[in-house]
Amino acid sequence: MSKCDLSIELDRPDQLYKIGDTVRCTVYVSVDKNVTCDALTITNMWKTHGKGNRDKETITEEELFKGEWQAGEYNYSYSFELKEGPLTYHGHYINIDRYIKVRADIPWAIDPKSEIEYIVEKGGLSPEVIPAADKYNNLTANVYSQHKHIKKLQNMIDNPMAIFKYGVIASLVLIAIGSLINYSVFFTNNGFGDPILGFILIAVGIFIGVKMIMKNILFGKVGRVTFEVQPISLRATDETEIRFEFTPNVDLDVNKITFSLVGIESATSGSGTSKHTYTHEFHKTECELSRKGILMRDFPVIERATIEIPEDAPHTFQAMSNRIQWTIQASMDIDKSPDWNREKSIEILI
Amino acid sequence: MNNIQLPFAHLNLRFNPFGELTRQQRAVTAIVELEDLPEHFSKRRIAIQFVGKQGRGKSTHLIALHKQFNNSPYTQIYIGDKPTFNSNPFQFIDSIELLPASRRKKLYSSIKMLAITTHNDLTKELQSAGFKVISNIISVGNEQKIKKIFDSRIELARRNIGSLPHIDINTVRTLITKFNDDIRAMEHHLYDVFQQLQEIGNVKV
Repeated sequence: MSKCDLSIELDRPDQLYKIGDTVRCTVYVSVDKNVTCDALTITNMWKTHGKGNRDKETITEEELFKGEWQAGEYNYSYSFELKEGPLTYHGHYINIDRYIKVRADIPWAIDPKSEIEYIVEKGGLSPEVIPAADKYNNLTANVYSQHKHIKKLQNMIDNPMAIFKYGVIASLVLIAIGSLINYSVFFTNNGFGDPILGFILIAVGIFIGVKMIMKNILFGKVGRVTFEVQPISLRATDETEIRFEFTPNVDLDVNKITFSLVGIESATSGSGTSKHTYTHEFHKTECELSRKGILMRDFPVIERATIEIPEDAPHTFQAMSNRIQWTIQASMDIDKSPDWNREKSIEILI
Repeated sequence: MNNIQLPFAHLNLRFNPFGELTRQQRAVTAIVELEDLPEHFSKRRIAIQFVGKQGRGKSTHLIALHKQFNNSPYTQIYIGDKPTFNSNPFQFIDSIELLPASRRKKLYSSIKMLAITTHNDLTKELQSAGFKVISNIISVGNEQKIKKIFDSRIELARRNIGSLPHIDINTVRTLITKFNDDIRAMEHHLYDVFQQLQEIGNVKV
C-alpha cells in the first residue's frame, strides 16, 4: 500500500484574516509510490464546536488535481477572497471556527486528508462585500422552518390577549382531563389512569389559570403598550432606537422601567430523551429609564431610548443546533404586581 | 483590538474535549467491549439491545458496533420524530422507545437484524416478533475505564505533539463520588472545567 501524506500551509503564520482579505495557502502532497488520485479536493468551510451538536457548512469546494502521482513531492497553490461569514467566535457553549480541508480520493484506500484552521475577524468591508458577508446572520432564515415558528411565537407574545386565550384554554383542558381521570378512578368501577396524574394535571391547570388571571389583571392595569425597536438589523457601534408608550388604566406605582440589550448563546446537545438546550447570557447592557414613582391613570407614558451595539458584539448566528441571538428587553417593575416584560429580537450583522 | 486566537491552543487542544462530538468522533473515542456481538449478526432474526439509564454510554456502544457495519442505516430518533426506514433488513436505531409501540411492531416485521438502544428492556416484544434477543445492560463503574474514556477524548482534541491536560485516577474517583456512573454528567462537569482551564497540567474538579 502506498503512503500519501497531505498538509496545508497558510501564507500568514498567525492564521489571522479579515473579511475582504485574500487567503492564500499551499497544499503539500508527499507520495512514496506511484498512485492514482481521482480527485484532490479543497474545501473552505465553517464548523461549530462546544456544548451543542456540531453544525457545519461548506462555503466553497474545488478540485485541485486529478491524475497520476509519481513517487515524490507536489504542491498546489490555492487562494480565495474572504467575503463570507461567519466570523470566528469563541464563546462559552458555542465556538465557530473556519477551516480549509483537503482530501485525496485514492481508489481502494482510506482517503488521506488534512485540515487547518484560520481565524476570520471583522475587517474593512468594501460595500460590494457586505451582502455576502451578511449571509450567515440569516443562515437559517431560508433553510430551517423553525425560524418561522419563532416569528409566529413573537407575534403571539406581542398580543397579550392571545396568550390569555390560549393559557385559559390550556388551563381548562388540563383541569378537565385531570377531573375526568379522578372521577373515573373514584366514582366508577372501570376507572382509568392514575389518580396522582389526575391531581397533578388539575394542579398544573390551576397554576396556569391563576398565572393567566394575574397576567390579565396586569394587562388591564397597564393597558395596550407600544414597544418598538428600530432598526432591528444593525452592526456593531450602530444605535437602535426604542419607543415605549402606554396609557395606564389605573395609577401605577412603578419601581423602575428598564431596557436591556441581551446577547444569548443557545446550544442544543444530545440525542433522544437526553436532548438538552443550554443557554448562556454573554452580554447584558441595562438602561434604566425612570425611577420609582406613580404613573397617573389616563396620562400617556412615553419613553424613548437609544442603545448602542458594543464594538465587540458577535454577529447573530443561527444554525440547526447553535445560535447567537440578540434581544432588546423591556421590563416594568410594578409595586405589588407581577413585572411586565416584553422582548424584541434584533439582528446584529457582520 | 480583538485578540482572537486558535481555539484551546493554550491547552494544546483544538476544541473542548468534553463538548459534543460527531458520530464519527464518538466511534473513534469509544472505549467499549463489544466482544463477540458482531458475530451474532451472521445468524438471522437477531436483535441486540443496549439497555441503560441516560448518560451511561448506550449510544456510544451502538455507534461502536455500527462502525463495523457502516453500510447499514443508523437512525437517531428524537422526541416527536416520525422517521422513515428504508428497506435494508439490518437497522441500527438509537432511542427506539421513542417510536410508538405500533410502529415498532410494524418495523420488526420488515427487518431481519436489529441493533438498538433503549431505556426500557424490550426483550418481550422483540421475542414475540420472532427475534433472538441479546441484551447488554450498560453501566460503567470501573474507574480505569472511565479514565480511558476521558483520555481518549482529550487525545482526540490534541493540537500538536507535546503534553496535554491530564485527568488522574484521583480526579476520576472524585467524579464517581459526585456523579456515580453517569458518564455524561461527568463530561458536562469537565466541559465547564476545561472552559476555565488556563494551562496544561493536572485537571482538578
